[in-house]
Amino acid sequence: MNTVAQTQSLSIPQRLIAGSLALFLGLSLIVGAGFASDLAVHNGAHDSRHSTGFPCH
Amino acid sequence: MEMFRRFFFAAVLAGTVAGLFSAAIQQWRVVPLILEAEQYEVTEQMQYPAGRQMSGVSGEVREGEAPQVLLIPQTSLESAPHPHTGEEEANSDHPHDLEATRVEQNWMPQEGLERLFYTVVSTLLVSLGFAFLLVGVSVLTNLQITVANGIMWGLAGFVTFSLMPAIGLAPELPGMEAADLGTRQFWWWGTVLSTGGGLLVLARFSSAIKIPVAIGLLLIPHLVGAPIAPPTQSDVPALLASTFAANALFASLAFWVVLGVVFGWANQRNMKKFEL
Repeated sequence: MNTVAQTQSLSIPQRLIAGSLALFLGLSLIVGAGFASDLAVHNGAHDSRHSTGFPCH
Repeated sequence: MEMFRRFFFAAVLAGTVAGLFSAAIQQWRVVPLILEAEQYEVTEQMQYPAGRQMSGVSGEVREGEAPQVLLIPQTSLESAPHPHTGEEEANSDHPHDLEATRVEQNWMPQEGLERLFYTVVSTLLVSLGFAFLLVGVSVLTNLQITVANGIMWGLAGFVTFSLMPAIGLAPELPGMEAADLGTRQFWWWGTVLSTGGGLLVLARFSSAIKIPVAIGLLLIPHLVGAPIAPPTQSDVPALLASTFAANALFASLAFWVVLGVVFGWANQRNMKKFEL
């Protein structure tokens, strides 16, 4: 197994698409659960937001 | 497609394992301190129906132009402009009316199992989000995550998303004074980008110039300065607040280390499986 060869076999467009999709998905989850200002979401995620150290309230 | 599937499952596995671990740590070390802090969230200017317990979420609200921040039970979370919305008029004269309408308008989990459930779910979602961010950064920078370097990825995540933001905006309890929410969130994200960028420069490049560049990126948010809380008093004891900040950081560190290592393990395992 050669991890370096493995990653280098990906073309740059493939890498850009996969990486951007993953970043977008990750940010969506974090913003949705951790930062969304909707009060119901805030109330449900309250303890999690404080525990994670996100700015809350 | 194989590549997408491989990363997707590694992220889901690592995010789930680390998220459940994180939720357990939070319930053990952190959430009890939040519950304790909520006991101090009592407003002297508002009267509530007898027997109404303060439960769960509360908001820091400003009563008109009054300099003092009022802390109110969640049943009237909307009774004054909340930093998240700010669109509702303050109306503290009729708590009974407010309670009748607010509870319907703004859902919140019941105390106990329901609150625990939603806390675990949101912690899991955030954990999955961090796992996908790791994938994105790893793929875009062509830096692999393995078992061997997983702990370094985890530590980098901790420094980026917890430690460096925390030295400007320490993890805060409900009821603590803080600057405007939007300003704090802006600074928080800016610090994350700058810190993460600095660490990636260190990891990705070999030229010696990377060291001053990285140090600069790590320091810039703190030279700019985090939003400062207004100089008002909070009823939350200082020891409780500092204990909370320390435990929240500990919980974050534990989470990130588990996330990095499990992700590295899943990533390597999938590489073997697909003979990539």
